[in-house]
Amino acid sequence: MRPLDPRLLRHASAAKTFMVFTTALGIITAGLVIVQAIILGELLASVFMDGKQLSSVRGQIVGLALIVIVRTALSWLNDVVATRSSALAKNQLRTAVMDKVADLGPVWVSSQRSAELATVATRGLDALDVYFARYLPQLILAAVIPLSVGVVILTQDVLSAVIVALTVPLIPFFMALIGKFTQDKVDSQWNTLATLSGHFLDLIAGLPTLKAFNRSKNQARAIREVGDDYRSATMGVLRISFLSAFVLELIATLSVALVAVSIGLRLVNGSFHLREGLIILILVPEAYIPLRQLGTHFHAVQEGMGAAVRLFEVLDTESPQEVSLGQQAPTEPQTVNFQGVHFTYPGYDVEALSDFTATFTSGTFTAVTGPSGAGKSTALNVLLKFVDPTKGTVTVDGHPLTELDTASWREKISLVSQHPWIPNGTIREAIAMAKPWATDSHIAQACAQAGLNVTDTHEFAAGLDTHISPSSGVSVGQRRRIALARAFLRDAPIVVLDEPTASLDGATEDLITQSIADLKARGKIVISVTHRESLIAIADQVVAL
Amino acid sequence: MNPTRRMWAFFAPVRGTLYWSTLLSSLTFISSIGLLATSGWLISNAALRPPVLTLEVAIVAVRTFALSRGIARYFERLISHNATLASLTDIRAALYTKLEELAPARIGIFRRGDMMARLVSDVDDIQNLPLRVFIPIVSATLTSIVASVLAIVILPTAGIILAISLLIAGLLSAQAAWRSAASSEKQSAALQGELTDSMIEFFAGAADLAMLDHTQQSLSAIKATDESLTQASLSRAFAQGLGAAIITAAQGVALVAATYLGVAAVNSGNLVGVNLAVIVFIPLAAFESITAIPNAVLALARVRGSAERICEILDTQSTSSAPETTSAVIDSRVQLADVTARWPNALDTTLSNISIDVPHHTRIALVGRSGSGKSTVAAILAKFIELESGLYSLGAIDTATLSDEAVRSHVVVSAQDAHIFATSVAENLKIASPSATETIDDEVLWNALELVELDDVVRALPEGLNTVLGDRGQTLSGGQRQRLILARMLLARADVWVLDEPTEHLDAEQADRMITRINEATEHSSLVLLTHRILDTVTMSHIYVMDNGQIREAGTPTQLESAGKTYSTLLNRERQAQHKLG
Repeated sequence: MRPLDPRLLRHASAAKTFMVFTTALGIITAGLVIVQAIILGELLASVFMDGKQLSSVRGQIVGLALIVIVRTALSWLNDVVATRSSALAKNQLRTAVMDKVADLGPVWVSSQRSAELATVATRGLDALDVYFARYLPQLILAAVIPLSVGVVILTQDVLSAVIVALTVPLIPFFMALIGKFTQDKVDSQWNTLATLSGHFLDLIAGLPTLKAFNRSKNQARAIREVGDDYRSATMGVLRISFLSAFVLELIATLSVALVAVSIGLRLVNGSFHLREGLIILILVPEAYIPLRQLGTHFHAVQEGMGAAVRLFEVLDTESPQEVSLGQQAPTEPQTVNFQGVHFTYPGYDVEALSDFTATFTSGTFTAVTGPSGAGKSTALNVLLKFVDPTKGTVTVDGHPLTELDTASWREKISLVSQHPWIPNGTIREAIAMAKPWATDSHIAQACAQAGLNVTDTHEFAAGLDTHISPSSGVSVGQRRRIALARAFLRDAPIVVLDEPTASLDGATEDLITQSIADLKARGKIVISVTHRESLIAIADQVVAL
Repeated sequence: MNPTRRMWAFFAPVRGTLYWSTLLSSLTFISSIGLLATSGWLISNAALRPPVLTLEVAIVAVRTFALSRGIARYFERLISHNATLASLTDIRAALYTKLEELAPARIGIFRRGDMMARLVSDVDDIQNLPLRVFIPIVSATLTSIVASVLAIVILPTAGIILAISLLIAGLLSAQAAWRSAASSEKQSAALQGELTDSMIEFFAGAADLAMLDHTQQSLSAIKATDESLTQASLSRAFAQGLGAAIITAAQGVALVAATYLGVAAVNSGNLVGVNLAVIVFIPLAAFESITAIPNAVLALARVRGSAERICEILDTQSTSSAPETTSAVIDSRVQLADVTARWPNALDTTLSNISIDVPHHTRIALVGRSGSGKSTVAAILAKFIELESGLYSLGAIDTATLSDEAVRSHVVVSAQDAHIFATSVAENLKIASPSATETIDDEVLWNALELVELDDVVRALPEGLNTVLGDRGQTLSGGQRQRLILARMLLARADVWVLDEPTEHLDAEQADRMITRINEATEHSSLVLLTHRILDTVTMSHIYVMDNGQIREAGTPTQLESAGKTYSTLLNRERQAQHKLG
């Protein structure tokens, strides 16, 4: 994986700003490390060798103290700016993703696992905090410090500089080499880890089934066996990866020892000065620290970027072309006619809907049936203008649907979906979405028609003002009744219901059946996708796909 | 005992190993200090140009420390990980044993897939207790003591300041990390939950929103929540970096103090010159172990949450101990007499005063729409839930006097939401075999698959019977899952079969065929069929119509058809629908 994904910089401008900041900070830090080493080396050598007094080195000690203050401030500043940049970048990515999702439309969304996407976009992105606060600054330091420290060492002693120049590159080299060698094994090991947790989860989820077959008792032993197998397999891989860490560690410490001993021996025969020796000794370990730290943050990178990469995929999906404004839809459509309609989703070979012909007229209720995968939802998507047919035509009172203005067409339709959307607000707001200017009496009437008994304080404590929110446990039945109330309030000429009675209790099912009859009596074109006999029985027309 | 301590108790068998790991971890840090200190001493001494031989010991020490650091670290990680993984298996096994006692009625977790997933990752998280909390904190303490003692021996004043600096760095950085974890939990957790929920809603309601022309409004509401979350993080940023800054500052203080005091001591002759570099170099290396402390504290905060959730389950009271006596059940007659029961802590329908009689080798059906209480009856028959009042008897023996296993060896229940395991098709089927040791031939498995018309589907799978099914059987469609569950059921040996909605997700013709097969397969035993589809029940000898947790009608199909109540209305409606569908 690349150390820095250019897509992050492209999609989150906060990341770009942070890179500039952290680079500047990295250069200053490198400078401070070098100056601190020079001050210390000079000070120690002059006191020890030349017997300088405290009073004459006071300036250097003050300088040292100043460096400490600045380094503390920089460390704090780095974390503050990193936290802020991370928060902003997360915000930017989320905003971009939501705008993109709105652009891509409902058909695209239905192809996604939306709960997973939402979790990735919120909790998943939190891993970016470590990425910003630790990894990116180390990345800059790893580029700046070995080089600048190396140059300073070179000015003091060529031999030490050669030792550093030969060993520092070994660290990324070994990392890459060992990484390549163990990556497959580590990957498969991560899979085992996932499998182990997965196995445990699977057993727990299946406990009622195991119990029903009297097979649940002996599984604790299976958990131990699988766990032990996993442990020995994992330790095999860990041994390799720890060994690689050992080699890296050794390169760093042995080169310090090498430099120290070689300086020591040259000091003994008088070919070297203590001042340079001390400076080099302080600087050499510094050259290895950022690269080694980078290795320890690698895991954070994988985690942080994993979530971000998933969002980049969404952001880089091509948006559909916006259709230019067409003709206004008829105010009261009487018939909608599908003639030999075919549809294939982009990227698929198989037709999702093939040769669909049907006529829907006002004042009738049509049940659309068929096994899953036969194209029921696709037919709805065509009707709602979420997709245009790849072949065939849909006409509304003789006008081709593709030529109608999308917004004006959708105004003519009320949709009751399987899991109707509700806002975080009052019941009134949830229903008035269908007609923002509706009065309370209109809303109350629509509620009554949909069997939403808002005056029942047992169910809705504050009537229309009762606060509801997606997370407050609104039942499927309540959602559908809210959507039905919207449909009655909106009073659109076409009502589309998508499996309206799936997973509902008997009473709500009866209510929906009754509502459909009401809508039909008002001259609406009522269309429902369903496989329930109770709805098929009251249909005027059954279209089997 | 608090939850974290209880989790720690699981590591008791490997505690010795963990202590050794901690010592090795300290040795790693001490080696770094040793390497820098002896190097400083070596070159300071060398500058005095003594005979090389007198430096031999120092040279060996430098090389030893260079090697010991890596070696100590390698073995520390190896043994600590090995020990931790072993204990994690113990926690999983203990948790499973407890869950096995509780499943499925005593605990809400079996109703929420996400809660189960969370529990499993909670267990994974406990490995951080030794690896990222205990070992780093204890070894940082040991290292700090060793470094301070070493410095005190060389120059007491500088040593004491080093000790104080290390102590303050450790304590303050830990406190800063703890507070930042707590404040982020307090300020952001709720907002983040709200944001996740509203995004899920936004995605799920995309079609609705487009139709209501409400996409942009809904988007701005979510963006407003996102904005508050971002603002909360921004305002917290100033406290965020305190931990790291405190350590940098403390190290700086120790370094400047050591330099100042060291120079003064050399001037006054209280410190030999060769040790000046040593006393200054010790603080440079001594703070490495402390830098792990803020992360250790954050890990502890997470472990604490996980431990609480695990202990909550371990502490759930299991059912009053079931009797182990297994009286011989001769007759398979199942009777529920005046039974009232419900799922604990659940919204499901309460069953009230239900009486059902299934004489030896008869077929009966329970009819009702979803939510009518059918599945609760199945749970009672499986002895998953206890009765509040009434009697459940099997062969005229009160099942309260029988062990759960004894009841289940006669009455086999296939729940509507029966689990398909993420293992091979064959393994999934073999779960139904009466004992783990008994083997079932492939031929028997194929026969069962053929009965449910799944043989062609399985044959087409890449490895046939040995194909591993995806997570929760996702590689199968709803109807295929239903039929696999049915095939598994048909492999079991039972006196009484209880099938919950076996025809859900199947089309009408296939549903009819499956009902015929079920009738044939259960010819020599009793069958209790729970269904919402009336057409499934016309061949049954007795039918109970359920609604809202009660039995509304009961009788033979002909009796009910002519009674002109719910049963006949629904039956006529279904026949009408079938007629329309041709």
